[in-house]
Amino acid sequence: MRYLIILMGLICCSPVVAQDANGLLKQVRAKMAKVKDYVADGMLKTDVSFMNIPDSKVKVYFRDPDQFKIVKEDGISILPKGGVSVSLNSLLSNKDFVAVAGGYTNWNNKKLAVIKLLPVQENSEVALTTLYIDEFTALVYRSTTTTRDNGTYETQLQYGRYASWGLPDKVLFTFNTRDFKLPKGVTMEYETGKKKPAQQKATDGKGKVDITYSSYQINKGIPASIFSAGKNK
Amino acid sequence: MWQLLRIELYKIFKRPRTYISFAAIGAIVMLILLAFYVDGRNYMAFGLQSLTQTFDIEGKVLNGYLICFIILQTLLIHVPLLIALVAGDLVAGEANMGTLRLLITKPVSRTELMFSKFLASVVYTMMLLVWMAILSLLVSVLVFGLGDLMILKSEEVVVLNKADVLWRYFAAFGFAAIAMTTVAALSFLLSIFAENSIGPIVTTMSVIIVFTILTTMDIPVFNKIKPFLFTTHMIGWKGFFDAPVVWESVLTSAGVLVLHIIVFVGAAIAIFRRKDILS
Repeated sequence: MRYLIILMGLICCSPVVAQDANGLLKQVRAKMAKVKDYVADGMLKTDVSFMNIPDSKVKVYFRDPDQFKIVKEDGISILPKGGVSVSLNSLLSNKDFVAVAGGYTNWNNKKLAVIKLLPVQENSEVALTTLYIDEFTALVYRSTTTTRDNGTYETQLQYGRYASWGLPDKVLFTFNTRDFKLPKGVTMEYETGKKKPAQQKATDGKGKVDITYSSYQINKGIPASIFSAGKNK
Repeated sequence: MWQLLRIELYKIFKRPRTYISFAAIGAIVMLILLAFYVDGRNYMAFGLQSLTQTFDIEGKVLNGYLICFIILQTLLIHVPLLIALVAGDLVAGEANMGTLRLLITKPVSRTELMFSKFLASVVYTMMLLVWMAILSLLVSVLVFGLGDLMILKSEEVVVLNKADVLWRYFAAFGFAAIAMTTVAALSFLLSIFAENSIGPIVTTMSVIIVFTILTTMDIPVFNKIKPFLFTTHMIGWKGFFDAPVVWESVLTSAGVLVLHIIVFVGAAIAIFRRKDILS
């Protein structure tokens, strides 16, 4: 009898929790909906065991609903496939998914609500997204996204001047990498006899991309052509 | 000495075969440029496929700096043949024509004569490299423009900011000058043992081909002898495209090559001074 009461209680309570998850998500989306487009200046740092790339100034473009692009002016930028998840706006904009509450967790001395997003469409590239949200500010501080083809991504966000728009000052993006190897006979390698710092790093199969934003220009309008031009010329 | 050098340079640049090298380099560079201009995207897609499986690459990867790197990588294996063509002929060619005996009857020391001949081959080598630099760097940049340089190594991808690339090319061409002078010195040394120029040219190329194969094959047995092969150090120009440059290795390689030049030229002069000239 006691177990029946507990079970009934759980069944009765679950719609309330689901309602909370959707409500919180609605707040997050409402905050993000204020941003129709932005151009941001930032500093891109790439930390991948087999890559030796200098830190570089980049421009980051976003246009509602999910167009996102990181461009190094007159230079080369290398980003993980599916890197669109770097932007929460593009991750959440106009996507159909079911929100499930996942309780609370402490992260960096913050109590964050955990919400899991399950895609409605069967052929969706994203299999599962978990958001860690501060209920008071409706800001997402962390997210993990598991995709069908490109592994799992984790995004950590830090907020500052643009928190009221839901835009971060810093994004740390962690992703899975595969080994990179070419035959030495092809590359005609010059052996320096010393291991370079990039090769000395532990190869745990993870790569990191870190973008520190210095400024945003929000809702000034961006031509669609920016998102189609300049890919691997 | 200056007079002797001028005479030797006159002899080199009077021969039509000298200009074959300049024409060959011009043709090869133009062919590579044309190939990349017409079908560069497919070449790049093929070359980058191991990377593009996991990463999106944005920007102008195919630019003048990359083309120059590819040309250097391709040409610096073949240029030794063009240098041996002239350096191997310096003494053997005179012996073949029967002018060597006449030459040493002049009131000039054998050391000066040999040194002027070697210096003339060095001038020719430098001119060939300058020609190569103009075509591969200047023309590539004019046709394909500037951009960051992305280099694929066996276990690493290096991207260099475009503002940080030009000095590396100047340094690389300077290093290539030392490497090619080593080839000229070897060919010059072999030239004093032959009665015609075919022998030293073929021998020089055979040595370079065998040593290059040993250098490029990643087999543990060969790895032990690699540091002792001058061909291992000839690709030291690539060291300038590391970030940061491992100066110790690059300077060691340059030192090893300079040592080879001194030994080859010193041996050539010492042997020639004692040689009984019969032709």
